[in-house]
Amino acid sequence: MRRRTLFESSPLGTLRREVDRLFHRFMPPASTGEMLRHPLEHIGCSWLHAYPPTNVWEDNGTLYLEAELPGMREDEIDVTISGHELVLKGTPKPEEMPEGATPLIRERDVPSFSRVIHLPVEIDQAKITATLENGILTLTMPKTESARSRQIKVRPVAGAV
Amino acid sequence: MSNRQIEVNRTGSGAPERERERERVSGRWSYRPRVDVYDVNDELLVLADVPGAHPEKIDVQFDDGVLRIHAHVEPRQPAETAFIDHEYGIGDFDREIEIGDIIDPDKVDAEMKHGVLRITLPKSAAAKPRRIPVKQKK
Repeated sequence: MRRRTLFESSPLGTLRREVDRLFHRFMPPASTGEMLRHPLEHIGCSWLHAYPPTNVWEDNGTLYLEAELPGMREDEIDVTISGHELVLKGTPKPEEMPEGATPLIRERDVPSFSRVIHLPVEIDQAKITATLENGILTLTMPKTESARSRQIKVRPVAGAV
Repeated sequence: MSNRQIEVNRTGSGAPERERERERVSGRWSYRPRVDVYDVNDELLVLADVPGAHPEKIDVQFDDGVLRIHAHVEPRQPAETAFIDHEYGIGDFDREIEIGDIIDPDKVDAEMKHGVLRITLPKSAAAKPRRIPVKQKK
């Protein structure tokens, strides 16, 4: 693979970069060496995918949800829950840039979003906690008593052999 | 840069499987962080999304005109977690950006804020923009 530098400032260099960028966008990753984290991006359809992508998992007593929101601050994120619907909203402020900054590569995108997530179990809404650490939003959602799966002990019948 | 391998990895154990890709960089599988690069007068500014990485687990190197970013990301779920919804993979981030020999390598500085790595690369004296004073001929 040819090594590219940032400073190919001729008009042809600029055109070449632009064509490369389009190829990277529309060609499957395997042919470009590009690595993409979300499935539809390689056909230029990241907008089809709900944003932000989330991972949801559970243990016996708690449902967990996390989302990657790099660059966002606590006061830009709004989490509401009503019944089985969880709504994640984000309204990021534009990033502060030094004066005279000229973009050479732009891949990052911090869009405003609103995503509704259906919760599969009954949640004790008063006990939900949300934390934001190193760009990861984590919701810890304790299940209600009735939603917890109960383990039933199997006892031998008295007198049975 | 050579020997870069891409694979489609099936994630999820129980949850609907979704495809994702990651790449092998120097023998390790890792994700490619999104970056912005800006030219700001006397320096270059690189912003890289590395959510989930702790500041002390990030390695930034500038060598031979190439900026290398490695951010280690600890797993946040117990091993063998059965995801109900699994929309992205979690793992280390790696990226190389060819900058060229216009940087003063001793003055590269990096800080982490809200999951974004911010690297400033001051240009070497020879690469800085210079204003040439126009003298009035008397």
